[in-house]
Amino acid sequence: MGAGDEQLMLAYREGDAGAFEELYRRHKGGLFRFVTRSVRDRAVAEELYQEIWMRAIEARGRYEAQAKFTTWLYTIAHHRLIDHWRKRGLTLVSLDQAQEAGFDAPAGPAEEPQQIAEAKQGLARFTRVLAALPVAQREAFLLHHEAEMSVAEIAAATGVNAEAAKSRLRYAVAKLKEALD
Amino acid sequence: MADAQDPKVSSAYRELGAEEPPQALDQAILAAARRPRASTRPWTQRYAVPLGLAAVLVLSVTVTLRIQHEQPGIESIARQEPAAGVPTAPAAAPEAALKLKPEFQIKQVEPARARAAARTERGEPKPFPAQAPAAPAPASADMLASRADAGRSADSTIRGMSERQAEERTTRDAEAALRAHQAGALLAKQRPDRPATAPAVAAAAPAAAPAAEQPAKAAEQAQVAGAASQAARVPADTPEREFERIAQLRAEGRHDEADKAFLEFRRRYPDFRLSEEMLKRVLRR
Repeated sequence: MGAGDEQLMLAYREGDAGAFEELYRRHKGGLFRFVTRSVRDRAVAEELYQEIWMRAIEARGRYEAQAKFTTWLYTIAHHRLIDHWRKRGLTLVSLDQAQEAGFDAPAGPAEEPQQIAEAKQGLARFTRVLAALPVAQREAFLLHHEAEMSVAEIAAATGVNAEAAKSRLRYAVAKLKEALD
Repeated sequence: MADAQDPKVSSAYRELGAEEPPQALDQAILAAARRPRASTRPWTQRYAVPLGLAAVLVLSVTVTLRIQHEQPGIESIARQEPAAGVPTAPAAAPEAALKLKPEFQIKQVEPARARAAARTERGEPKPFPAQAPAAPAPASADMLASRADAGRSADSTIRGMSERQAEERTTRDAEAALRAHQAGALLAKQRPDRPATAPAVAAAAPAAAPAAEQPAKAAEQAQVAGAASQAARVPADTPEREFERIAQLRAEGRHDEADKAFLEFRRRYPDFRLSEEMLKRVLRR
């Protein structure tokens, strides 16, 4: 087993570029999917993804191994997405309440003709339900499945208490389960 | 957490696929990560060394200027000390003498020569130069030139100090001469058989440095009769004193010396006006 994420980030802070490459390899897929399934526009999602990594690179001098690297990285991602949504006129309250309308629904194959045809099947419905989740619930669900975060870590990354994080995750799972039934 | 996790939901989510970022995006991010980090030190740390050096420099200059302002003579004293390997004779010669008016130089050189002549006649050894700090000893042309060059580089404060010191020295000499004259007159009154001693004292005394020792030295020199006649030929430094010296010679009956001195006086001070009363005092009746 290789070095932990925290050790790699500390090594990168001290100038080891190879450590960052390993970190990037480990987390690029999960973070990319987290962003692209949170933001409808693919180009905007890729831009946000790159900016999140740039912020992590610039902040490496301030990194302290007090929390998991994943929590630190996704906290950066959360703040960047909050900035993005704020620019689009959304508030934190609306992030919790917004649902169904599908603003900033995650990009994906749902709108493709072939996927629309597959929507008759359960998986397609699952995708649509995921895209229709309130932002905060979808974020909690994605953090749990892409970053493999616990409720406590989701709470830390999103800046809410554990109960709120648990509630968001539970509502998201319940809706998706309903779509599969 | 049981409600937050459902195997069926997790399985369905995994079936959505595992998208990866485009390779171009990977390359851009990794290239940015390999770039050296820009200095994140605050400006106070980055400029600490140059600022410290500048502060030390300013402080040094300030302290130096303050010391110079509060103790202006400190450079002059250091400059008058003899350099290693240089003969000690010129040590007492103040550098300011190079810039003095001619009458100052005459006043300082001539009494020294008169005193040296008196000592020679008495058979005394030459005084050690350090014992006569006020007497400018002869210096070679090269040394004077080098000292003049060094003096030109000094600031105006030092120059002003040197001139002031020279003036003070001249005043001191004049006062010493006056005291010596008074002492000689007193001695002559006590020993009327040696009438020539007083003028000798008056002429020789200005060369002595410490004013407090002048009466004693003058008394000592007044006892040397042979030196008196030669010292009497040495003119005084002002026309008034020279006139008084001639009048005294006349009054003492030393008419030949008075005649010679009066001719020399007229030659040196052709514009000095003498009243009829004054002429009666110096001309042979």
